[in-house]
Amino acid sequence: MFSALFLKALRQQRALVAAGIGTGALFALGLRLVIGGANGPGPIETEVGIGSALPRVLLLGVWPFWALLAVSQAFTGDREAGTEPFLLDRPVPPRRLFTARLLAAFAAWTTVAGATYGLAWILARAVYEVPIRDGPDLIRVGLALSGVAASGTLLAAAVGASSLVAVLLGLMLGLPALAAAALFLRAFPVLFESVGWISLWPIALAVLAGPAAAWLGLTRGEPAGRGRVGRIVRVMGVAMLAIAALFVAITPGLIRTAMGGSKHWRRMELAPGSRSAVLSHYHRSMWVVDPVRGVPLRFIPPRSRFLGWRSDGAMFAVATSATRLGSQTKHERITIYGADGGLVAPEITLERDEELIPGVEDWVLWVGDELFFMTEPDAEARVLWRAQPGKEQGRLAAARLPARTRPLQVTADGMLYLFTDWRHVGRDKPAGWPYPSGEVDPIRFDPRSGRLERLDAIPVRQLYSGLAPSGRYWLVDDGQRGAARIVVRDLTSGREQVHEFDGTDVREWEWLAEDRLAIVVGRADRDSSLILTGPGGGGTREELVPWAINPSMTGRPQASPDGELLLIEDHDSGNARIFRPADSRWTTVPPPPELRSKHPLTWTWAGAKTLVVPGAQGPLLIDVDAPERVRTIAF
Amino acid sequence: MTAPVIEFREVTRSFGGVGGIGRRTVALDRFSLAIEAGEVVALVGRNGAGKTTALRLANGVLWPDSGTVRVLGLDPAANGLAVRERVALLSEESALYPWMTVGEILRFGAALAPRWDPRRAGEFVERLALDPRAKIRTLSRGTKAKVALALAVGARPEILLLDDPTAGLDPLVRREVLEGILAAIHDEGGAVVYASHLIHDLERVADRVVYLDAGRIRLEGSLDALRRRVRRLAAVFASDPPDLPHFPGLLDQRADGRTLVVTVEEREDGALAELSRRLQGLGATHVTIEELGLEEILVAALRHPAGPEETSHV
Repeated sequence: MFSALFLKALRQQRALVAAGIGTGALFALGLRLVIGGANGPGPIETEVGIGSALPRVLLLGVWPFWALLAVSQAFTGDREAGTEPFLLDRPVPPRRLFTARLLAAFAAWTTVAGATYGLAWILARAVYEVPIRDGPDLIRVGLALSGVAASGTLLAAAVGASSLVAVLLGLMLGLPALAAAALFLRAFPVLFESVGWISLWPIALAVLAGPAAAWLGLTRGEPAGRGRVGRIVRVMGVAMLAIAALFVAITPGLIRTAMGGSKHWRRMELAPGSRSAVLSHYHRSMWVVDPVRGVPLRFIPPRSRFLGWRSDGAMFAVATSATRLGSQTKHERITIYGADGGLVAPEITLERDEELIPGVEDWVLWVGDELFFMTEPDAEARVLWRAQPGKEQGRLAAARLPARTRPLQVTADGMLYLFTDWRHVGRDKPAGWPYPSGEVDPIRFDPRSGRLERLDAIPVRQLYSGLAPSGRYWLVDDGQRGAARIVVRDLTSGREQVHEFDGTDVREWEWLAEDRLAIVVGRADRDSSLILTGPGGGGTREELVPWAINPSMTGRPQASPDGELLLIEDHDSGNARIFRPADSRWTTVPPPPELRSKHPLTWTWAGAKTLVVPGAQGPLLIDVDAPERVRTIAF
Repeated sequence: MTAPVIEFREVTRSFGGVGGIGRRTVALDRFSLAIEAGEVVALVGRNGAGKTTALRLANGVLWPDSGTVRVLGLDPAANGLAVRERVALLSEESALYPWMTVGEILRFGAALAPRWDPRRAGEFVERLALDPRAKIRTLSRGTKAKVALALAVGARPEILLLDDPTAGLDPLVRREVLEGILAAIHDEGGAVVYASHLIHDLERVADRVVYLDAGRIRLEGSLDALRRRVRRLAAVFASDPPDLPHFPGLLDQRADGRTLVVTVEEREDGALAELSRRLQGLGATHVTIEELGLEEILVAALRHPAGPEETSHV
C-alpha cells in the first residue's frame, strides 16, 4: 500500500519537477545571455554571473520556492482536485498517507535541487571553469531556507488551506522563523559566542514543530478533519512552551559543555591562603579548580571576568555581563564566589544611575572584608567604589579620581595604592606608556579614613615601578639601555638603595617574601645572573643562572604564592627553573613528554610547590618536588 | 435475532460553529436506525436532510458529536480502518484521479483494499464494458460511475453505502449501474444503504425506506407497509373546504377547489374510517380513499415539515 501511495504522490509531482528544472535552466540561459553578449562573457562576468549569481538564484531562490510548491502539491493537491475522498473512503492509514506524501515531496524537491545544483556546477566548473563562490555555505543556507519553507507550508496545508494559500502561508510562516532566528541571535549573543550555530536549536526545533504538529493534525482524529486546527494550534502551543522550558533547562549545561571543556585557558589566578584557584579562559568563562587534587569545582559561564581574590583566599570577585541563558545584561554585575565556587553574596549590580557605565575595570582590590572597584562614567574621571559583599547599602562612592587612574596594589598594612595621571586631567589625550618620570603619581588611599594621599615625592615610571608586599618599599626600574639601575626607596625613612649594573639590561624583577627582591639581569658577554637582595633591597648577592641561556629567552621571574620559591621560564629548553633563595638551590622541572616539542611553554604557579602548564587535554599540574607526577585537570 | 450490521443510536452530528463562534448546523439530530444483514435501505430526504452525513458516519470518515454508531459490531470512529476494509462508499461525485487510466486506478484501488478480489473486479470491468486503457479524464460521467462501482465491488465490501451514485446519469447507464449493485448485493448477501432522490430507482431495489428531514427520521418502514398504510383521501365539500384539525399520522392536506386532499398514515387500524367520518362531520359530501406510490408518499411528507417529535415507524 505504501509504495502505491508514494508512487501516486510522486506522479502528481511530475509537472512540478519538470517546471523546477525548466526554471533553473531558464535562469541559466537568461543569465548567460545577459552577461555574454555576442562575444561571450569575460572573466569577471563569468566569475560573478556563473560562479556567484547563478548558484545564489538557484540555491537561495529556486530551492526554497520549490520546497514550498512540492509540499503544497503533496498535501493540498488531492483536496484541490477533489480526489481526497478517494483516499478518505478507503482503509488508508493516515500515517502512511502522510509519510508517502512527505517522501514524495522530498523526492521531488531533491530532484529539482540536485538538477539545478548540477546545472550550476556543470556551467561553472565544466563549461566556464570558474569556482562556485561560497558553495558549501550556499548549500547549507539553501537547505535551511528550504526546510523552513517546507515546514511552514506543511503547517498551512495541514490546517486546510488551499494550495495557493498554503504557499503564501508557508512564506509568511517562514519569514517570521528567519526573523526569529535573527532576533534570537541578538537576544542571546553570549550563547552564540559559546556554542556557535547550535545556539539556534530552539528555532530549528520550532521549525520542526511545524511538521510534527501537521503530523498530529493529519494523522489523528476524525479523517474528515474536524478538530484538526485546534489540535495543531494546541500542539504548536505545547511545543513552543516545551521548547522554551527545554531552552531554560539545558542552556546552562550546553554552554558549560561547549566552553567548560576548553583547553584554551589563559591564566590561573591564585590566592595565597586558598586551596582553590580560578582558571580564566580566553572565551571569558572560568573554572574554579582545586589545584592540589587537580579537580574542577565550579564552572562560571561567559561573559565573566576575574576581578580578584580576597587576600585570605576565602572568596573572589567576578564581573559578569550575561545571564545563565546566554543573553547580555544591560549592566554588569559583580558576583562574589567562595573558594569552593559557591555564591557567597548577592550580586552587586552596576546601575546606570550610579555612574557605573560602562562597567567595572578589570580588577577589584580587597581591603579586609571590603572590595574596591573603579568605574569610568566619563572621559574626565573615574570613580572608586567600595562595597561589602552582602550589604547593598554599603556600596558607596569612595573617591572621584582623575581619568586614567589605574590600580596598583593593596599592601599588607591595608592601604590601597593607585596610579593617577594628574597631568592628563581634563585633557583628551591618548594614554601612552611609559610615561616620563614624574608624570604619573601614585596615590595612597586609606580605606579606614577615606584619605587620599598623593605620593608625588618619589620617582615613578609606570609599569617600571612597584611596591614591596608590605607596602614599605617603593621600587623604580630607572635604567637605560646598557646601564641597569634599580632604586628601592624606604617610604618610612626616605632612604634609598640603588643597584647599578654596567653593561647590562635588567630583564625583570620580582618581590619575594619579607620584601626581598629578585632581579634577573642579562649581560651581553656573559650568561644571565640572578641578583637577590635582603629586605628592602639591601645586602645583595649574585647567583649565576646555571644554564646556558639566551637572555631574550628567559621569562620573567614569578614568586610562588608564599614567596619562598622563584620560577623562571627557560623558553629555550621549555623547562621551568625553580630557585630557592633560602639555600640557593636550583631545580629544573622538565615539561611532560607530550609537551617537549612545544616551545615556548607558559609556566605559572598553581600552589606553593605546584606548577601549571597548558596541556593538550587541559591544564597539567606538576609538583616541583616530584615533577614526574603530572595531573591533568579534566573538565 | 442477529445483531444489526449498522446501528445508529441517538446520533447527533453538527457542522460549523467552532468554539461557539459561527452558525452551527445540525445535520443529524438524535438519529437512530438499525439495518440488518441482507437489507437494502433507502435513505431519502431533501438536500441537507442528513443522508450523506449518516453514510459518512457509518464509514468512519465523520465522527458523531454524541450517540453511538456500530458497523459490523465496530465503532467506526475508533476502528475506522477496519470498518472501511469491509464497507465501501460509492458517491455521486466519484473522486477518481483524472490523470490515471481505468487500469491504473483499479490497480491503485486494489493496492488500498486488503480484501480486493481481482476476479470480481475483472468481471465487473467486463460486465460494464470498461476500457482499462482509457484515461479517466476522457470518460463520460456514466462511465466514471461504472469505474467507481467496479472499484467499490472489487473491494468485496460487506456493506455498500451508496450516496446517490446514479444521479445525473442517463436511464440506460443508471440501469446498468443499478443492476451491478443488485448483482453485488446478491453475490455478497450484504447490506446496502442507498441514499438517493431517484425514488423510482429506490423502489426497484429497497426493502425499507427511511425518510429523513432536518436530521431526524420522519417516516420509516418497508415499501409494502408504506404503500399499504399511507393513503390519500379526497373529500368533496359543497363550498370551500375547511382546515382539518390535528389528526394522528397526518402527512399533508391541501385544498383543490372544493376538494380537500389529505395524505395520512394509518397508524392504528380503523384510523382511515375515523378520518373519513371526521371529514364527513365537517361537511364532506363525498370521501374517496386511494393508494399511493412511494414518490407520492414522500412528496406528501416533504410538503409537511415534521414537528419536533413527529416520527413514524411503519
